Amino acid sequence: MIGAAVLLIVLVVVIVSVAGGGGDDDTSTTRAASGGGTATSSDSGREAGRAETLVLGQYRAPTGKIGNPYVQASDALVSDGLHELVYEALFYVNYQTGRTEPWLATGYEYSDDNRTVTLRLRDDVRWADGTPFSSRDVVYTMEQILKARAPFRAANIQGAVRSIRALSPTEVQIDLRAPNPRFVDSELSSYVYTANFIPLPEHVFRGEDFETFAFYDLARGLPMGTGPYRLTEVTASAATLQRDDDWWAARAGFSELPAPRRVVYTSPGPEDSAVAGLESSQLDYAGQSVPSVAGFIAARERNPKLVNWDGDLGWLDPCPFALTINTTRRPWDDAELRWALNASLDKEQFSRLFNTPGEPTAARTTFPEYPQLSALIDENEDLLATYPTLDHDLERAAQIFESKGYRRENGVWTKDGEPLSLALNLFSPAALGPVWGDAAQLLNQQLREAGIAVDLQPGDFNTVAATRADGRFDAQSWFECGSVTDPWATLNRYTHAPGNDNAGRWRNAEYDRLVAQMGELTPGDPRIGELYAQAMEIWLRELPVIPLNQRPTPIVMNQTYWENWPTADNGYTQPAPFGMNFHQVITRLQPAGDGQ
Amino acid sequence: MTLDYALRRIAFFFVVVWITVTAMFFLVHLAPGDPITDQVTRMQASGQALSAGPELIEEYRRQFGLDKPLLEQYVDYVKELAQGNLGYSVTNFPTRVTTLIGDALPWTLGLLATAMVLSWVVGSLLGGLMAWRSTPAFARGLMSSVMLFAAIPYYLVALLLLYVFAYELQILPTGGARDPLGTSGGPFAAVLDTFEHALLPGLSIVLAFTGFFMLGMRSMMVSVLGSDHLLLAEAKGLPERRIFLRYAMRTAILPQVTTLAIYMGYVVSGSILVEVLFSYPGLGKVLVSAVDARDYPVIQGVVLMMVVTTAGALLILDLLYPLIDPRIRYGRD
Repeated sequence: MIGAAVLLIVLVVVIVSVAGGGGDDDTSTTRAASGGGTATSSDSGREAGRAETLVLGQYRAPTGKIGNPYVQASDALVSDGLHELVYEALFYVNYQTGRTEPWLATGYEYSDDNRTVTLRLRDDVRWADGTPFSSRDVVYTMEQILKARAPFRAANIQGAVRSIRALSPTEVQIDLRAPNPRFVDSELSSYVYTANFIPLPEHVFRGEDFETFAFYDLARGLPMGTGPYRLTEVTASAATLQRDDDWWAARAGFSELPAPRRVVYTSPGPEDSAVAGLESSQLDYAGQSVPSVAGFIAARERNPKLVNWDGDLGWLDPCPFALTINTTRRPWDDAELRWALNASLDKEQFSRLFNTPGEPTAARTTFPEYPQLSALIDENEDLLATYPTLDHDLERAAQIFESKGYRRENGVWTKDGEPLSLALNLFSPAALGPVWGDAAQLLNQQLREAGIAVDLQPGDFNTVAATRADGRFDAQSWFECGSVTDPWATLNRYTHAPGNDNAGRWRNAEYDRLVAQMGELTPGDPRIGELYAQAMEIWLRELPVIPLNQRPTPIVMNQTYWENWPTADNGYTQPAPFGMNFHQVITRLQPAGDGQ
Repeated sequence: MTLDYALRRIAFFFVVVWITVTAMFFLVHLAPGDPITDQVTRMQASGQALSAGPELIEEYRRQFGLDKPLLEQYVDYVKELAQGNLGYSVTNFPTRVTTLIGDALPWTLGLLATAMVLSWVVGSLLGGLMAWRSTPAFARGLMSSVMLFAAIPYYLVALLLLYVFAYELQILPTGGARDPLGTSGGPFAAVLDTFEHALLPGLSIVLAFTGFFMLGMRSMMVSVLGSDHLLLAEAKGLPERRIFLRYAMRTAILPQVTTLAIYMGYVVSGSILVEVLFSYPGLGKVLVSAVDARDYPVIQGVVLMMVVTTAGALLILDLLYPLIDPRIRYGRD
């Protein structure tokens, strides 16, 4: 009986191994045919060793094997390296320098009325199959976006662009429906996490249905981009990309070939597994599976080659945490009560949950504090002196409650027999990690101490999103993505423009007017500072959203095999390997001596 | 067993599947949120001010038929299901649900079915030996220690194994089904690599379930030991090994077979925690991702698999019982 069982086990293991969990394409393992295109790697026959391989622990199975970035299922954050290493953007926005750095394009010009953009493209770019990249591809992609019923991440582009035409193989002209001096930054560049416009090869898409074509067939060299890597193998637990030694940028002398010959995206597992992978240097980066500074510190004790963005402190994610207040629900439609709520919260204590034992990172505003934005906030420090968002002041809160007719009974503020309650919709630990369990307890405790009857409503991302869409909350935890260099995008979140993520339903006509005025100015225009001060004065007075915490995200980078990772001291660009800008990191990585 | 009984039993199987599938369809649709809102909100959460957000959501809802009344969606779903079509994954469109399940199923079956069979074989054998009168006392004591694991949930055993063998000793991988960097050394190395990756998750199940099967077998053996047929076998002077295996074990094993069949049915559903802990690319991970994103067709597809395997295992067992135990006859006096 035991012999039979052993035989069965061996048989099953052999079958599963040989089948790779399935067969081809319709199953879990897909491998590119050799020579899938004309521009093959010069030494593709040799398997890259560990010292030549970059291992990134951020793969998330199952993958639907979607290469077309305009299909709704394409999720830039489900990372198999496509948007970082296979595709390339026309421009990359660098949060550190504040510059929009040209890549496939060489530059752009706006017309005087900001209604027309003329893009200049490089003349030496080639797709991975050797076909030249030109204005034909840009125009084709844009025209398909304009025709599509629902072009997913490019929906804004569809709404903003009237038409496009090629002026020459290296020049295109885009006519906009309304003046938009930020169109290149926010729509054509890698901006927050990814780019909304990713040029696609017209010669591959021709004859296909743009809205349903998966653009994914490794045997045919798809997905195909102009980037330095090709996706060559996808299994149930990893995606492998091989360097294209004939990459156009290296051939043109525009960039060095990236040093890693092979990049593997693998699943890091839960935090403990990711920490173990970093300790043993099986991983060069553990993705977002190391959400805590404590996890990073534990790993570094065993592997001193691990570094974080800034000492123990992680990189600030572009989307700080805040509490959206539903300004249409009583009594929180009263701005003074929102200030009392703000004063009831000890944000420094809250922020320590996320970066213990690092420095507190309580958020002064809802802007991510990248250099340009921090400078702007500092220049208007007097605003924050008048409206001290970071002050935890229970006496001040009590004064406001009393002035509104509330009396404290059994520890809870009460008016007309009704307790002051707050339906607080929060991310559950299942949604964003165990820290949100502690966060819920802490907020509950702080608000109850302040005399507010809290009704905690934790939910997974989907539940929180649905609640947000319906406005079924008094306060809700959320990410305030928007600006990274110029203040307009974050300020615009709170206007009443259609499609904005203004879930608190706050309205202020004067604020809207100021932000609209700012929107017509080119980033860097000196008048923006003045408009910022005026708009923020209104926003702070009304406080429709309560800033909670800058969002330091451990970006744990392993220097055992690879060096020159971006850090605060060497901040050539933002470090997040899940962002499209990782393209700008991998071209600068250098092999480490020890790992060879 | 009569044909009439077999047909009734098969019809009952289909009724069970239909009821469960129906309940699941309405349950997942009644949960807050939907896959399209989820995707668009995620995009908005990453800094997109989507001026056409509501229109985008409506268009996608129309494309996936989510704009129709729930009852109409249900009728469409059942019609498609009757033709063997589980539809497309919403979050992985245009990937079919069958493709996602097909990718994951071999890993789940390979790991869990093997581990379950192994724990059944070992557990039954050890349980039988524990009750057998001539087993030495020290051996019984040793075997009893295995039963400790029956009291510990398998995912806790998994955490313990992970801590010792993967984090501290670092002699086995922390997760995944294969070395992401690949293996050199041909097919044998690939088999060894797969085995290494399956060892910890498999062992956590084997340890937990061996004790469970031991307990069941021990109880059955105790009740069989005083039977007349054993006395007769001994009186005939048959070798002890033969009496143990052919007379005692064979008689006592029938309820164990039932238990195995039930647990084999749970193999698919029972994999979730182990697969998440070990990042094992099986059905459990597919289900967790689908629930997280409210990917209705995938949730329904995976649940259908679970129902079919559980109900199917019981159906097969029912039909095979008369062959295992000649005393059982259906539909005859």
